[in-house]
Amino acid sequence: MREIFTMWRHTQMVVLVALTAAIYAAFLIVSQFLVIVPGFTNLRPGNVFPFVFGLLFGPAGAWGAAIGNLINDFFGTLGLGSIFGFVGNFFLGFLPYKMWHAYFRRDENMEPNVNSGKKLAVFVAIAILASIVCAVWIAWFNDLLGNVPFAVLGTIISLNNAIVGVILGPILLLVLYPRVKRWGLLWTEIMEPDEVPAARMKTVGNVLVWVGGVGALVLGLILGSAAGGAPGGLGVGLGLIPFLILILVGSFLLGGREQVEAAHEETDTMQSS
Amino acid sequence: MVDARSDRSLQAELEQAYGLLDVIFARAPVGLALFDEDLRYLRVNERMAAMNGVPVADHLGRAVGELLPGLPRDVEDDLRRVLRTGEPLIEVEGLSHRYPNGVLALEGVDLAVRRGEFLAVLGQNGSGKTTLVKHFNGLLEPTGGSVRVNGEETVEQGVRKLGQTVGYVFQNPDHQIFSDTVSDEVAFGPKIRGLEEAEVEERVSEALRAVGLEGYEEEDPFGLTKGERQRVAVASVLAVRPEVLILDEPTTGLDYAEQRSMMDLVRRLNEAGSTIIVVTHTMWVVAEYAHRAAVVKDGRVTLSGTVREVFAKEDELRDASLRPPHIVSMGNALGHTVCSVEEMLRVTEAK
Amino acid sequence: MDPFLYLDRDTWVHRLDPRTKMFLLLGSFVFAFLYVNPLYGLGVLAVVLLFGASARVLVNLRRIWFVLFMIGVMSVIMWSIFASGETTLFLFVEQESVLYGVGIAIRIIVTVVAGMIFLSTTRNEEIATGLVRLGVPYRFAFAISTALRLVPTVAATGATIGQAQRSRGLDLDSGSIIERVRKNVPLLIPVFVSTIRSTNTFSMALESKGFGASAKRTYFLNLTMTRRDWLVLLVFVLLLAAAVAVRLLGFGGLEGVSR
Repeated sequence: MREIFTMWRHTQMVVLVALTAAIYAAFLIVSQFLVIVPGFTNLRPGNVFPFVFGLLFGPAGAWGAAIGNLINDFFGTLGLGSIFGFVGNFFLGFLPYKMWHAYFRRDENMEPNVNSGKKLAVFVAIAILASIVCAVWIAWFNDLLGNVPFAVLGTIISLNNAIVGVILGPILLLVLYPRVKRWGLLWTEIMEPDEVPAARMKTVGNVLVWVGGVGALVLGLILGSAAGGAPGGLGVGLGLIPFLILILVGSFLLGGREQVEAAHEETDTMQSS
Repeated sequence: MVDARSDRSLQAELEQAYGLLDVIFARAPVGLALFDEDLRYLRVNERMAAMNGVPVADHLGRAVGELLPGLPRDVEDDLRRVLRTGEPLIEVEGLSHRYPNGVLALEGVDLAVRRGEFLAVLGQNGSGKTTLVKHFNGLLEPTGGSVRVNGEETVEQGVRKLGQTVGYVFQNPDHQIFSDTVSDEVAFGPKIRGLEEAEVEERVSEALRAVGLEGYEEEDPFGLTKGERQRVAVASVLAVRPEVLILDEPTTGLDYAEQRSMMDLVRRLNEAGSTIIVVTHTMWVVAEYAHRAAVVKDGRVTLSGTVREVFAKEDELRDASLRPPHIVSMGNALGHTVCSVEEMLRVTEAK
Repeated sequence: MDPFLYLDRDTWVHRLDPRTKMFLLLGSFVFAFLYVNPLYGLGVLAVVLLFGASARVLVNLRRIWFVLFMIGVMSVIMWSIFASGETTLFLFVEQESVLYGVGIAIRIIVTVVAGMIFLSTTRNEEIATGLVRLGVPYRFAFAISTALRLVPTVAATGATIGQAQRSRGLDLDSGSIIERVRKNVPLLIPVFVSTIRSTNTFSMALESKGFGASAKRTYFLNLTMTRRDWLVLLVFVLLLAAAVAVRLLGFGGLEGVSR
């Protein structure tokens, strides 16, 4: 997870945090007029941005998504739940770039430009998982607080983000990747390999995040639904904690240095040829 | 002078219907001439021929400028422009617009935009000029008064339908470019209106040719220069073949050569038949390219008329925080409004 | 259009140090969550509204009233369904769960109104500087305040882009859900490109002004905690302590609800 702190050394990354946050916030605020569960979440095309920001700008995109959502909260729904709105949206941008490389071997091209069947499949999978993880964090905390039942937020947030991400993500990345690369703004080219932790057992990490995320969602839905008849919110509140821990551990294991090295190799070969 | 088409059969029809013309031409105590829209003589009477010093028969089919090389070109140009414009295409009556936050942006505006003309809407930032033209394609609806395009109220037509008639090119091309290739970008408008693929391709080629970007089909629109991106934006609006083209500050962000290039392109489009409305406060552009001008100040149209008429009224222009180009002021001081340095030279050096 | 809530007034609340106000905001969250009983919740809400009234910023309620209304409605509906109580009103809806829904709604509304009051009385620059003085790393606070500053600009750009694409024929209101979502591409891409494109020039401008060159920097805004700030904090802590005591004594809860 080190890269989310080391990235701040780079001015471009700092600027990208600000810009991505502003873009995300602007879109969210504007679509506050399309409301599903008012005060908590809406149907918003802008929700595709965290995935795009994360894949292109790495940790800067994750911070940008988190801050952008916080700023959106400033316009009406600033409350205790905003803390985990921050965390949830952070993961929305964090997981895409963290998990991406786990699906590619060292010698494969792992640039996030979704131009092959495999890359499309990986993107869809990651988008869905990231949506679930984001939903789990937010729904868990709001249920713990007693604000909104887990089942409600859990499903809505997962669906909102996943649907929009899967439909719009590939198109956006296809158009934006070449231009962002040309402007020299890909995180893998800005950051240095030693600033990003190497992956330790990346496949294990990958699996842990999946188990943690999907497991939390399923368990939360079962425990929290009226049919389950669980005695009080603490069932969801405590019951999900092991899964949340799995998500965190998996994230730690995932590393990410390989992508940065791959990107730098490419520039090195280009420069020396 | 009568505005007549050069189409033979139509002319014959005219002559038949207006047999009076023969009588008038023969009997009038003045010189009379009939021109087509390119200022070619169709008919002259004896007096006119005598004034010109050229036999009647030698007039037919020849342009005024050709026959009378000494005629000041600016007058000829003005004539040409007036002749070519047709019936009102956009009619604005008593237009008022109040923004949701209460600010009154426009008050009691009356304006007519004629087919084929090149109109400049002038004014300082915040004067309301952009608010005014955004009514023409339905982006804004009047809160008072009416705006009609092709005889029908804009509120009845809606943005989608009006977009077919009135094309709006926004100031910053980066506010619309989103496609992978230039041809995809230009094809967006026609595609969205449901045209067939073959037709779309043709429109794209046509539009790119019109803006001087043929061969750019596969280029990356994001990687072009500012001037090129602006052309792509114009092309993508042209591809829909609108009758009117509105350009919002088309010279912003371009260097002088690019500005010239862009305005020459706009003039070519006008000469090919498009009605042009340019919103600007760049005065030399207005002076050299526009036919008519409307000055907007504090939400009202304070001046309107031909460019020459408007630029002669320097005090009122100053009131609107506008100043004509120096050469125009100089001409005004000398007693004759000219629109450019070339014109000044022509007028003073007339042989 | 100014999307920000800040209202420039000169009240004692406005003159408080932003750090004090942040603390009050967080404290109000605790305050709000103490009670589930709607009656007690209303009491907390009244105190918050009184505070807002003395800051003369309650006029901003006009801008968020719809959100608050919907929160209330949805909360009551949701908890009437998902929670169960003892006295049945009709079908599966019980009195206790309805009351619970009301209590939760009030709770959320209290936090939102508190947030609104905070934002209405604190400028963006104050928020950023306050954060830094509290120990938040400068670059992080800079990113936040820059983002805040840029939101209106990006939103305005987005609006213009929307107009430009509509003029070309983009119709966002027709088609299936999938189609309608896809139609947003001509909006999303230009906003992204025109904003992100400026990253490099922005970065160069920052670095040419010495951004990040040294660890410490001086600020234009000088924040000092006055005696009034400390007094306010003291009073608030006492109030909070009293409220907690009341709760611990068994008041303010709701009997018979289970989830």
